[in-house]
Amino acid sequence: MRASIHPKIVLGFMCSSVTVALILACACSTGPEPREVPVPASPLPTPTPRALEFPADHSSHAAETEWWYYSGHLTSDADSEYGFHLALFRTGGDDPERTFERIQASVIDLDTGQHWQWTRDGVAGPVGSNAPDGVPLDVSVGESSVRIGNGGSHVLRSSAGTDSVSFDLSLAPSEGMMLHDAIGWLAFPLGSSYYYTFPRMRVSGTLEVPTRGREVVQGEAWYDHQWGDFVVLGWPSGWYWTGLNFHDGTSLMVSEVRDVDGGRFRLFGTYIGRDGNQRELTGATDAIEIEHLEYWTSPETDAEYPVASRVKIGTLGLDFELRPAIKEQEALAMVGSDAVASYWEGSVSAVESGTGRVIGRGYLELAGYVKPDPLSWRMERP
Amino acid sequence: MVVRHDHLDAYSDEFIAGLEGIVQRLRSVDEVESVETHLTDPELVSPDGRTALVSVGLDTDIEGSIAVLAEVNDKLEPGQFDVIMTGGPPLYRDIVEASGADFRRGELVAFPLATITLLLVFGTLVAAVIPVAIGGVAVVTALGTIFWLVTVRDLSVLSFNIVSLLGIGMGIDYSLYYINRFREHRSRGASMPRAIVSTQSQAGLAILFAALSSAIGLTSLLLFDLPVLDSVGIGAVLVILLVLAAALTLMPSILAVIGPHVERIRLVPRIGGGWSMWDVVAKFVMRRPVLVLVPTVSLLVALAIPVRDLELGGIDPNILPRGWESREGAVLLEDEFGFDRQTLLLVAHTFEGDPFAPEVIDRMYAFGAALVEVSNASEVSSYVNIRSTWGPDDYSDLYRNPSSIIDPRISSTLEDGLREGVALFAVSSDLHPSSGAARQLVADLRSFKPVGGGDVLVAGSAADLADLVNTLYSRFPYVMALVIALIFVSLLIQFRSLFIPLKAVLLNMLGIFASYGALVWVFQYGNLSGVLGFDPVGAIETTTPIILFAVVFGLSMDYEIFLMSRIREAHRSHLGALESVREGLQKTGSIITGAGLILVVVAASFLVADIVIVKAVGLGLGLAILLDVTVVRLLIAPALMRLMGDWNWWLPKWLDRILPTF
Repeated sequence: MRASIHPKIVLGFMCSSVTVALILACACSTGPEPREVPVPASPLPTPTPRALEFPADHSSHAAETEWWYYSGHLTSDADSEYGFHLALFRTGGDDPERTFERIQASVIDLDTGQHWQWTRDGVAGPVGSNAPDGVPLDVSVGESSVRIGNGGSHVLRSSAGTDSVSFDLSLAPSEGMMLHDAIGWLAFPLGSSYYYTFPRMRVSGTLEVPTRGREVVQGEAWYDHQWGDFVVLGWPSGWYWTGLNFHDGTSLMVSEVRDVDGGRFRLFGTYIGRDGNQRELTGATDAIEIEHLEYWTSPETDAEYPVASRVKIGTLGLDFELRPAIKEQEALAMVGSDAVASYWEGSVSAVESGTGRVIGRGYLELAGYVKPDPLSWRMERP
Repeated sequence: MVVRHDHLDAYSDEFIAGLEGIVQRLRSVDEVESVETHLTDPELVSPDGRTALVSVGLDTDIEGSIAVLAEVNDKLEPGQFDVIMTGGPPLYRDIVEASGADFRRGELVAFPLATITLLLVFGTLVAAVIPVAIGGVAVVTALGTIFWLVTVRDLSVLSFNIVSLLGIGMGIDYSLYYINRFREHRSRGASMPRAIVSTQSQAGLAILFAALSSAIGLTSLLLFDLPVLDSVGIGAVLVILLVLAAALTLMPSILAVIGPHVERIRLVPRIGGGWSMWDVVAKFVMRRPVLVLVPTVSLLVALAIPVRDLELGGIDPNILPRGWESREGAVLLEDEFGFDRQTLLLVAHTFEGDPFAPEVIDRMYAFGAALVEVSNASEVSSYVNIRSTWGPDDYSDLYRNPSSIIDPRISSTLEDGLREGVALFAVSSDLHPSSGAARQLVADLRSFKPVGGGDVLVAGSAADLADLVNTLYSRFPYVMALVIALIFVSLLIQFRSLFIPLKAVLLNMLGIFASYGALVWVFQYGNLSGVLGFDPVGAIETTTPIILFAVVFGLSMDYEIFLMSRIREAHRSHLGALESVREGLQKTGSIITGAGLILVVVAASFLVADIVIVKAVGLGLGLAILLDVTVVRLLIAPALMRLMGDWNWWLPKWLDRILPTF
């Protein structure tokens, strides 16, 4: 028997293998050197506002905050008078794991002063038109839904669930549109928003309340649509807003937006005259004045709402008081068990100062009046 | 806690009412610290609105959580809701339960198989009973000691598995080697006392060195400062020392009593004519050493190749099969929320002063902006990462009056991400937390210097794993080197040869890397997952390679010592280099394969376990031993010795002088 490899070679090879293996095994890598954080690049630019397109822009957008808002007044065949409001909120942009939808609705029986309000929450679908038939918007949250057709008609259905209060309303297409701040885009204290309005939409349908049962109704509704990257802030920020249709065929939106510290951020408005033309209003150039006349304190949230006000717009020669149908028209908006996002959303009449004549009606929205508890993150926990 | 209902939407009144009941009952448990639902955080509902996630914070340690979960289960009354608990505590509870069940199931499979193999190897019932007695005494004593030890310190349930495996396996190894020598002496006509004394002086010494080698390998587990490895190490070393004690004391006593009867009740007939398979093998290896070496070494190298792709993973619910609650919950989270595709890392930046002061906002904004640019960070969320279009001035505006913030997403960012002096940046990534890329992401995030002072700390499952891997594997090479060095010296002293220890450690490493490669091929790539009944997790659990190294290195060394002891004995009785190798191989071949096969059977019983990690240890161990007792010890080792000839026993004279003698 003969070995074909010299033992010294085998021994040498094995010694070197062990040495190399041990060196490799013990060669520990060192971590990277700590590096300085670079000077941050400028944040992404806020997109330049674009011209709105319809019906596409009735649809949902990849926006942090978006809402479709309806309010109006209805008369039944039996001459009963009602006010209603429905707002569809959507948050979370186009991130399917964050999107959230809420429908908040209310009905007021203007003859009896009874008021019902309810909320439904859900997970929002993807951004854009998702309806099988390609209409711009078809959203259902629980038993409530909003559908906007390609031709500009709207269908609103909502039910309080347990109280036999519901409505099923069709809003006919309408011509007169407000593009706020001229192009339908405006700045907020934090961020900006697209914002357009169809102030006079003809409404027909049915409405049910416990005292009167289901009735056939018709009337007029105000439709707002707003979306953008703005942040909705609470007290002392917030806003005073009203959308009014006057009996002379004109329409007016007036809003005072409060800054982070509660001071005025801007006072502005949009007016459609008898000729159908739109006019943008600013507090300074159009001598807009809002004087609060009466406050109501919510037993639910302790918020103190200025439910009655005197509004003057010098350049339009308007001087009227906004008077609520009833004071108890608070919309409770819960975040878990916290009602900090509640607001007042109520039917109001515009009463001409001096003559006392009712010259129009609409809805008043008072947001950012609930004073929050000190936030729990304020360093109370270790 | 995943909450679902057959037909109710998570935002429906009925669902919310039911959920509030569940939340109320949860809050009635003392240790429940926090409960959060989709009613406060919209992200806690699945995109289809059908599944709600309830995040429950417990004020207890992981051990205490088992009792808390039992109390939660008692109080829950889910009614028509499906409530499935998952996350750390339920996973821990399920692992403890599964581990106990695996232990019992493994015993049920291992015991009959090992008994049959024992009878086949020992031939007679009387001889086969002895290793059971030795292993049994060691296992029972070790378990008893562990029961006492857990009153003093925490030990992982894995210590039971390892005690059972090694106790039985090594009890059989040592008994087989011992009894075989005893039978040899008796067959040569030695009296009972003489046969026992001779066996004790020859086999006893080999067993002493073998046990010490195994103990050295397994003691290395205590050097990692990781509780689970400590537990395995303590259990293993304890049982080996007990087996050693039983083999050197109980064994001769038993033989003194029943020695004359060891050949009684023969169940497997002797193969007549003095023919031995190992004769044939030994002759072939001696004739054609290179022809034996090339294919066998190539086989081991080929098996080791997949080690290149080794990914180390953590313990997640996928180590359990479907059916366990924590796994089912995790599957639901994957399906409904896409959690399997997400790594969430929390980066904490400390600072001094008011977090809303413009200068602090500037610093935190710069840090958050840098995190956004890190490769593979898909999203960064913090109190200064709310809108991509906002700069530090916008955040200063936002926080001029923090009380005005009512947006639930911003307030929850503040609640979750800001404490006195600490801002948290939640970094999401689409990487799997166990992936190497996720560990690189952790390293990238940690590489930033704090902005304007303070500290930067990174946490999260990927960071935990990265820390674990770094801690273990920065020590592993040194531990490996230490074990190799100690065993090298031990073999050097025992065999007084430079080549034999060198060959032993190299071949052991080759065998271990081959078993690592097989582990990757099976458990990481997912091959044979259907046969073995597991869902591939795409990684090997971090501690498995270390446990395998420690166990296999020691066990393999046993067989090396048994083989080399006989070869050395033959060499010292003036047989030539080649003849002594052949003699050793002929005398110990059947013992090594027999003992190895029994251990392979015991290790293979781990394959019926529910826990993937236990399966992996079983497969790795079984394969490593199988390769060792066949290819490595009986083909490669003799072939190398054949090539080395007289160099096998070469030792520098100066070294010979300083080495102690036994």
